[in-house]
Amino acid sequence: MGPSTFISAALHVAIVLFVIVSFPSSKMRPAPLVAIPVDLSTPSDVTKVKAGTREAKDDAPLAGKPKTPKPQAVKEKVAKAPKKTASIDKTADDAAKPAPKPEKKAEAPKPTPKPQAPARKPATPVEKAKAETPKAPKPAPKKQAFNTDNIAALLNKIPDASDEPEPQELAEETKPVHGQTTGTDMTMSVNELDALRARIAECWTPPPGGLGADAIVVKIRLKLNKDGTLEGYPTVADQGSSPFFQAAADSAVRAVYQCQPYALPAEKYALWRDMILNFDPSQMYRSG
Amino acid sequence: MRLFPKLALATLLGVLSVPAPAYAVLEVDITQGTIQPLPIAIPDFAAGLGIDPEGAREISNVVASDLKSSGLFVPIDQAAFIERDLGMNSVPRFDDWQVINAQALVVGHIGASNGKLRAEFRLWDVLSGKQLVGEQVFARPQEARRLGHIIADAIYERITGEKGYFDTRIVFVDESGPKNKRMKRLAIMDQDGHNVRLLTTGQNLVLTPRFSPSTQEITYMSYEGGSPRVYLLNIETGQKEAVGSFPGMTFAPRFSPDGQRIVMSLEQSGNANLFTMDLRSRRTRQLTNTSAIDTAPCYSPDGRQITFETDRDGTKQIYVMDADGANQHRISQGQGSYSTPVWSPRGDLIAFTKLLSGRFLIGVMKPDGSGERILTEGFHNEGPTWAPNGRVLMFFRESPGAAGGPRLYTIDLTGYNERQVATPAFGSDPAWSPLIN
Repeated sequence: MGPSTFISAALHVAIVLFVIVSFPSSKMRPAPLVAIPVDLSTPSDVTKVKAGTREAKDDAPLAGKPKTPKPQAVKEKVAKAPKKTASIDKTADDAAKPAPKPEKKAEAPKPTPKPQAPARKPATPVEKAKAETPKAPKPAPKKQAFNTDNIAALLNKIPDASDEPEPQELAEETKPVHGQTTGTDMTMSVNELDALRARIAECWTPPPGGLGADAIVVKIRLKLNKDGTLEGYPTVADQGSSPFFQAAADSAVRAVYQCQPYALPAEKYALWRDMILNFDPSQMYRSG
Repeated sequence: MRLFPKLALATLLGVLSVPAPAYAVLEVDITQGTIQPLPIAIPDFAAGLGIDPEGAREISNVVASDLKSSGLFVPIDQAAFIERDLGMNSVPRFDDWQVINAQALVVGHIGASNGKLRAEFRLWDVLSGKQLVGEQVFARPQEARRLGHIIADAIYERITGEKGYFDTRIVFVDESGPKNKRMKRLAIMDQDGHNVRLLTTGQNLVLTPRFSPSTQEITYMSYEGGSPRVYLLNIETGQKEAVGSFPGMTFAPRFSPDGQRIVMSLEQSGNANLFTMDLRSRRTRQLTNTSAIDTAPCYSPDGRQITFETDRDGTKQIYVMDADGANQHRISQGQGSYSTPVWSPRGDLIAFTKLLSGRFLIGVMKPDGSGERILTEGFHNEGPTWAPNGRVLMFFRESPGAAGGPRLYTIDLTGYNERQVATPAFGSDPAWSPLIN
C-alpha cells in the first residue's frame, strides 16, 4: 500500500505538471501571421481546420479542382493544418528537420477531418476529382491510423514510415474538399473586421444612458445565412433585468436586424456564420 | 501491476490535453454607434363606443409630440403608412412598417369605463416583431391629454431604460405688459405648455416658485405685504400662508426631498444666511453664518447635502455643505461667477448659471466640481430646473431690447436638443414638478 500510494501520488503530480506545462503553452502561442514553413501546431490551426470542415459540406461540389491550388496553398496550410506538413515534405522545399516534430501533434487533430473526407466523396457526384486522383481506397487506412498505433508512435517519438505517405494523399484531396477554395488564410482580416464594426456602428443607436448605463455591455450571439441574412433570432447572452439592460439589449438586437444582410467574404462563411457581438457603449458617453 | 493503467491514463490525459481548444466563435467588440433618434410610427388611436375619434386622435398626437420633443424619437409621417386601420388585437404586418423604416410602432385604442377614459396601447419592435409594452391606463375625461403623456412616458422608459418626464407640470412666473410695468403672476401648466392656469392675481411681484415633492404645494417668494417673504400655496385648495415669522426678508425657498422642510435665505443687516424650517414643528435652524450673501440653496436628492451660491470669496461661487451646515466647501473652479446651483434628481450633476465675459451660460458639473460642461449660452440665461429624470433642463432666456422678454426653453444633457416651450405670454423662473404619478 505504502509504496504504491507513493507511486500513485507521484504519478498524479507528474500528470498535473504535464498538463500545466502543456496546456498554457499550447494556448498562449500566437497564431502565426506570416506563413513560414515551420511546423507549429497552434489552437487556431485546429479551429481553422474545423472551420474548413464545416464549410466543406456546402462546398463539396467544388472539390474537383485539386491540383492547381495546391502549390499556392502549401504555405498557408503549414500554418493551418498540421497534416499538411507532410505535403511540404513532398514538395521538398523545406528542411527535413521539422518534419518529425509536427507528427506528434499532428496525429490528434487529424482524425476529425479524415473520416469526413471519405464520407464526402461518395456523396459528391464529382467524378472528375476521383478520376484525377483515384484515392478512394486510401482513406480507409487513414481511419485505422487513428488507433492506438498513433499513440504508440507518439510515445516512440520516431517518425513512422507508414504515417508519412498517408498525409500526402490526404493533403491532395482534403484541400479542395475542405472548401478553402481561394487558398486564403481562414481568419477574418483586420480590414474585414473593421468594415463589420463600421457597418454595425451605422445601425446601432445605443440608448442615451442613465446613471451607470455606460457600463452595460450586451453580448449578442447571432447566426447568419450565406447571403448575410439572420438565421433565426439573435440571442442575448447575458441576461439582466434592469430597465437599462433591457433597453441596451433591445438597441443591440435592433442594430443586428437593421444591419442585415451582412456583406462578409463568402469564402470565410465558416468563420462568420456564428458570431458574438459585444455592444459596449462606454466609449461613446462623454462625461459620466 | 497498477502502475501500467495509471501510466496509460497519464499518457492519455497528456495527449488529450494538448490539442484541446474548442471551436472558436468569431467575437467582435462594437464600441461605436450612431446617435440618432429612433423612427417610430404612431397611427391615430382608434376610438371606442361613445368616444370622439378626434379626441382619440389628439391623444396619439400628444404621444407623438412628447416623444419628438425629447429628441430621442422621430415620429414618421402618417402619409407614409402602408398598413392602415391596424387593430389593437391583431399582429401588425411588420414588413410594411420596415419598408418605411419604422423601428417601433405604437397602436392604441381609447375607450370609456366607469366614467373614466381608458387607453389601451401596445408598443411593437418592428425589426424583431416583439411586443415591448402592452398596457392600459385611465384618466378623468377632463385630463384626456394626460393619457398621452402617460403612454409617452411608458414608451420612453421602455426604449431608453430611463423614467420619462412627460406626465409632469411646470410652475413658472407668467409675465405680461410692457417692460417697465410688467405684471408677474404665478402660473402652472403641463410640461408641453398646455393647460396654463394662473395661480395669483398679479397685484404683487412673485419670484422663484418651487414644487413640493408631492406636487400639491408650491413655495415661492412674494412682495405681498411690502417686504419679500416666502409663502406656501396649496395648488388644489388655493390656501396660502407665509413661512415663518422672521424679522428680515426671506427668499430663495426650496423643499427638502422628503417635503418636510424648506431651506431658504434670510436677510439681516446686509448679509444673508441659510436657514431651514421644519414644516410641522415650525422650528428653524441656521445653517450658515457669514458676512456675505448665501442664497439659492438646493438639497441633494438623498437630502444629505445642500449646494448653494455665495459671494464670500468676492465673486459668486457654488458651495456644497452637509445638510446640517458642516463641511462647507467651494466646488466651482472655473473663470467667471457661478449662481443658481440645482442638484440633479439623479444626484450625479449640479446645474448652474455662469456669467463669463458678459455672457450667461447654463452648464452642469459633478458635485465635486469636476467635469464642468456648458450646455447653452445667450444674452441672458438663468434659472435652470431639472426634469424628474435628470436628463433635461428647463431655463429662461431673456431677449434684449424694449420689446424683449423672458421665454422658457428646454435643453437636454447632450447640449444639442434645445427647444422653446410655448407659453401664452413671457415666462420666467420655471420649476419642474416630479412625475405626477
